[in-house]
Amino acid sequence: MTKSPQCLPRSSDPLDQELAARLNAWGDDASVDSQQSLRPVLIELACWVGAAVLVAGIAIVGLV
Amino acid sequence: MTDPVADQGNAVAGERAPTLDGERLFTSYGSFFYTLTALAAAIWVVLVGGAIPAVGDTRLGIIGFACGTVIGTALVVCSVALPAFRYGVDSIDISKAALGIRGSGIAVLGLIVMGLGWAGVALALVARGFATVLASVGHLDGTVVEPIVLAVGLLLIPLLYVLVRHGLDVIRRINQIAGPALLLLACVSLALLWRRYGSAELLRPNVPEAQALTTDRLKAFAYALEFGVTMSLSWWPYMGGLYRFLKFRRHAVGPIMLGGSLVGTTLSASVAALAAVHLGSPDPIVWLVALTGPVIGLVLVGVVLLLSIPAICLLVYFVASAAQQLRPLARSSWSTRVILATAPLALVAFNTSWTLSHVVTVATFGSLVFFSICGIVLVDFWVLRRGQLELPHLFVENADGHYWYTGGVNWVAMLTVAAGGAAYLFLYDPVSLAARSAFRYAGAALPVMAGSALLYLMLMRVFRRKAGNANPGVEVVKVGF
Repeated sequence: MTKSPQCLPRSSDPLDQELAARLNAWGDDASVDSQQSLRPVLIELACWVGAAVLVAGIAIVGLV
Repeated sequence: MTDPVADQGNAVAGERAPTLDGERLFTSYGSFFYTLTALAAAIWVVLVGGAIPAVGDTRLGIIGFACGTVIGTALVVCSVALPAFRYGVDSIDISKAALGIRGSGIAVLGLIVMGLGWAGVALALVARGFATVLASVGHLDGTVVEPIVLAVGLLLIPLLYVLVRHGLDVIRRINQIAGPALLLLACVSLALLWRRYGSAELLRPNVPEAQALTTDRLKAFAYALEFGVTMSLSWWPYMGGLYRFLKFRRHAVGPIMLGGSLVGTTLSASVAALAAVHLGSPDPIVWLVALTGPVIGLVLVGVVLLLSIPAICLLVYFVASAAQQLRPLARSSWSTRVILATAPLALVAFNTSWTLSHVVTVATFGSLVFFSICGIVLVDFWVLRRGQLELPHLFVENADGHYWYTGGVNWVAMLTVAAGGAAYLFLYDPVSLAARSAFRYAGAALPVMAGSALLYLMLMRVFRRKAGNANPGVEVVKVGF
């Protein structure tokens, strides 16, 4: 993971410092859930879309 | 000694930066489910529900609407919610990789117009609803209703300020009550309709043919699908703001599909649709009183209105958060931005009728921009960038940043958004609901979104290659496959 680039503002402003600190801290722990593969989520979404398309198809064939 | 509220405000202001794992508020399935349910099932759902029977076949309308919400929600989750979950930033920051650092201003503008628009509409509905309930309970004549509307509207403004000032956690806690209560109310209302009309009769009636939008049943299904898809796609600017606070990957799909899409939106809108077609109005003041009698009915209406306030709070919260993207407000305090976000709603209190007749149109047009942006951000993240963003560069506001493009704007994305908006309005007028013949096959939002995504991919491939991959952000992802 790329750490804070040189082009980020470097001021004494607390918000700038907080931003830099968070960007440096972000991604440090690879075991947290948000850093895991999103593939299972995409598969789950595909199942929902598949079910919706199936229902739409049945409705169009049966009711239209 | 530090002021805890001010500290929380600073924390909220600072949280445009990525949320870290320990700061994520939605740690359980229920907390995320109920927040999404409360947002989806608030008072504005009666406007959508009331439109479903107009497609001409209520049963077909409900099925099409349900399919549309599920498909639209899945697209929004893919486009913005999952990147926001991964990187801990909101929809606007996620969009910067595709639109450019300054180009994302179009998303900020859309979010503010749509957020304030729908918050205003909901505030007007709640104020008028409470005034009607109070006038009915007190047997007051019609002349005193407008002053009561104004008084209720003005009372709600400081309440919204106080709730939103304390940040998302307080709204989340309130939604732990509002979500289940709205879910229970929708189920009770459906059970009452079922008891009165029976299962065979409940789904049978339709609006008279002369009042239907179309007699073509395929087009009727397309209308219902369109209502569902557009309702879900209009969540695009807000979903990043919620998913950046989601802790666990296993809660990324179930709560939004069940709570936001099926229960919050579809069930609540279906109850309003069935009530509209059986009892003549989608307005809960009419049908809850007709179903349960004047006393219980008015109490239930009061509860529905009260439970809509947390959803208005969420919209004000999103607007106040997005306002930090505006340069003059970038370093303003959280309290200042909450005041600026709630102040326009005071105007609504003075003009509720005007708001209901005009602002819905403005908010509807405000949401148009997100149909194309949803497609653009989706393919930019998953296809061009292979699911990876350079997080620090989302915050670099000069030409050294990898998402700067030309003058801070990705003109390819801007051109695609403009083309998508024009194509949408060519196919379908979301205000008059007039539609071209091609609309009958898949509505307008889905084809426009798919077309925008393809156009963006092609243009990025051509123009970025010609530019010699001058933009390092694009070079990293090897545009041109």
